[in-house]
Amino acid sequence: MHERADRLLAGLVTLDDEVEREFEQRLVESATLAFRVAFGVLRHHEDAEDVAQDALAKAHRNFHQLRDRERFRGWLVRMTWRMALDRQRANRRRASRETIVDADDAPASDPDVVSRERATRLWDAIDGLPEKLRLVVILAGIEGHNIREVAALLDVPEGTVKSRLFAARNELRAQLSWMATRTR
Amino acid sequence: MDGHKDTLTDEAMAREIESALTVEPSPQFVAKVRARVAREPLRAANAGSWRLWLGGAAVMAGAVAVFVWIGAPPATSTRGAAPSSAALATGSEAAAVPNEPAQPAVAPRGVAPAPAPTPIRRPLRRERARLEPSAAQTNEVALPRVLIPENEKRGFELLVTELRDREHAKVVAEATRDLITPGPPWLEIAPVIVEPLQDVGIAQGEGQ
Repeated sequence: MHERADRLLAGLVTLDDEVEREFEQRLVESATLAFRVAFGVLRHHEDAEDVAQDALAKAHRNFHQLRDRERFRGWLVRMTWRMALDRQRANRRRASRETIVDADDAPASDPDVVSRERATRLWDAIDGLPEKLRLVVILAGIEGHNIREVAALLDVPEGTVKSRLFAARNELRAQLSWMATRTR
Repeated sequence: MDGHKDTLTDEAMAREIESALTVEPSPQFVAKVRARVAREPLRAANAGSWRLWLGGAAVMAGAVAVFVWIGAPPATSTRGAAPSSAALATGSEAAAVPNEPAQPAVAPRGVAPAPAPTPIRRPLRRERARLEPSAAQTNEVALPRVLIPENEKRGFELLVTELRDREHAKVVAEATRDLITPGPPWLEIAPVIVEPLQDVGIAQGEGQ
């Protein structure tokens, strides 16, 4: 009787060890991706790390529920995205962001200032996109993901990613048209 | 400044976004995640077994509740009192379940509706089986038990035995010889002849 219990317990321990090893492997592969997704929403280093850490901890807690482990990255990306949006809403009034600078601090002729102003405007325009378009734009900008990889991460057809990306770029182009008139 | 025109191209936007997102977490980031994960116990694949335990416990509780309810005595109520043991002993289910007066479907105006009748629990099958006689028991004729002296009983049994041995005719003849006497042969009774009556009308007309 005790031997059976010991064998059963040993089997459970072995199973836990295997799950832990597999999660460790996924963690090494996907930690940076989770951080960048969170950073794409928050653009705040510490906040992005906090959110990515929360997302990875949640993924660890629910790792056994994930039947297809090959979809871990997409699962983690969507989870991180939602948590980052929640954090962004909570920190909506946060004053200091790392990349935000006041465009009037320096003369527009300074190339660095122009570049930073351009980046600020671009991210403001991205923040104004609908969530689905915004997520596609950010994922396409992370780690050089192509359309197929973005489709796999979001678990949607490639055509959907293409149309969303096209719509997002049109929207951004319309919002940033002032740059062309100003730089001429 | 013409170089800034490419800001609006897709490639430029993509480059801008990509360069902004090419950030690395701090070197301690993965270590922090590992430490946090280590603090939280892993819910392994067998962690869902608590649901099975919970479901099993619920089923057991339900079974125990049903068992207790079946074994409980019938509930007493003010409107339909529990049947007395005498009433139940007669096996009459009508006595066990008194007839409720029929309630009108719609109460007349100005009259407060009668309170809902208290549900009366019907005797369960096990109770009915205990209280009601079975079909075999019902078919038996309940004979009263008569106590007679042993010698009389034996004599009666001998009489029955003799009757069964075809001596009954002789015994009866001997026993009734003195009682049966043939009637006198000279006594004869003439048959009574009843003639039909004449019609009343004809009789009256003839009289006039």
